[in-house]
Amino acid sequence: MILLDAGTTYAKILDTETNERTVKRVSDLEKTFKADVGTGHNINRFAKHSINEIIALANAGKSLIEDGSFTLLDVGSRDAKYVVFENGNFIHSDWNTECGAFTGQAIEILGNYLNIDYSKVEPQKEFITATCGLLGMGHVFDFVASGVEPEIAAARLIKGVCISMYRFAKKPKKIHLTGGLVENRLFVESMPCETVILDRFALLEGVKEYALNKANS
Amino acid sequence: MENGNNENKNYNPMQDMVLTRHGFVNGKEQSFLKNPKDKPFIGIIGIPPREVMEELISRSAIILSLDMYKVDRLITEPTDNILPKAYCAQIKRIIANILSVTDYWNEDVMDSVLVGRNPISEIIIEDSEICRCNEMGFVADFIENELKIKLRRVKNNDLEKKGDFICKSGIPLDEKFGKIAGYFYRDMEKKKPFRPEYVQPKCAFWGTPPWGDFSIANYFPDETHVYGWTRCVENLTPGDLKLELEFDPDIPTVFFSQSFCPKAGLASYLASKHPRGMFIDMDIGITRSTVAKLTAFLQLNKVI
Repeated sequence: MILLDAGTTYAKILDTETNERTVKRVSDLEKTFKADVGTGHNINRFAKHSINEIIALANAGKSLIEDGSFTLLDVGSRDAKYVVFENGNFIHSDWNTECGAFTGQAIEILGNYLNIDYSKVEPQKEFITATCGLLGMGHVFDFVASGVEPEIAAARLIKGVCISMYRFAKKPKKIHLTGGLVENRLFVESMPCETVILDRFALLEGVKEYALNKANS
Repeated sequence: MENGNNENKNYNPMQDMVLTRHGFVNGKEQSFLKNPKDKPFIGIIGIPPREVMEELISRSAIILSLDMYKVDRLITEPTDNILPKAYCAQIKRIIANILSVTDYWNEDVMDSVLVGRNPISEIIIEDSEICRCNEMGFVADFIENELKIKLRRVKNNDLEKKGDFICKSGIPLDEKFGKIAGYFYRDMEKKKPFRPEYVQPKCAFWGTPPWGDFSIANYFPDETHVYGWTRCVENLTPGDLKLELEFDPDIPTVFFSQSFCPKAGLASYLASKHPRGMFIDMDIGITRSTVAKLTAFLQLNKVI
């Protein structure tokens, strides 16, 4: 069975027969590609069946996290979403559905533009707050113009993103993180609370749970 | 469950209907609106107080709700040069409705059901901030400054409670919105009140009616109780802030507001206080992301 998480920018693919995992740009998926089941912003173009992203995230959390009480936050290219469970029971979820530009895509564009290797930048205490990625990037360019090193200015923006995500998830003591930004060391180390990293394929575990349940029902 | 962009979900029973003092009417029934020569033809915005409504009824006025007129056709084009793009869809609708029933808008883009009508003779606006929003003052100023039409500004301080039978019944949520709007007129005309049976709730909807897209109601089960300003309207106390603040902490509750509405702050705040609350806002038309967020919330709370 081929499972797909088709996000705004990247597609994560899991072949359940071989356990092979692939990441590629959504724009590089062949138009004829059809996964068996999937989730994500672009899923209706590339899968026979789709599952709601928050349901996939909730399934993933229950499957991958041993403790029945957890906050699982998915920070993607365009948006962010989280689920909270206590003692195995669903408590809360949210999804910044419309203005999530202050996440992965803004960070990636900024890094490419300023030629920054985020793995070599130290987290900053100071941070930039802004209501969206475009405004945040504007602040970064202002800092750079005033003499701040581009790496430092970008790291302040990332710290701001992390604080925004932490508040969005209702300030838990510990956050389980998934989504493309878990591969950005600076982002992970800038989070203002304890973090546990799940890889960016976590949503596909939730999709797999759904597919197995459907097959058994 | 699969993503829910099901076309059937977009069905709106109030489509193409007009809210009048005779309830929602459609098709041929609208003809009575066309030529009310011997009766005053009055537009109302918001919920005027009982005293004002009783006066209108004693004059046998034809009353047209400019909030709800053409409920499913949010045509905002006439407002493009008046209002900013990022602005409350309901205020846009009210302004568009005013333009369509007065002589201000001359181009035939509104497809008005009132073709051949006598022009509306007076608009009564309930513009107290507590009942609705402070933008009602702007709407009143707009009418006063731009239209040659009699305007009456009124405040609704009614506190006599009429109950919340519809809000706590098992009829479908979209019908609840329609019945509550109709109940307002029903009560004024001393008709037998509509009192459907109480149903045990599975979840709740808090907020104003979802003016931007009533199809959001179709994602909720029939056993949805209604709170917030909509409940205040059924109770005929639209300015009862204490009642508006109430919610049931024991049932999952969706706190809704129109995007760019000042009530969004209240909805978001109450959602943060509710043990199983979620805040949703919506502009014109429900988005796929909002549907997914809503249906996930209802599924994970085992409501649907």
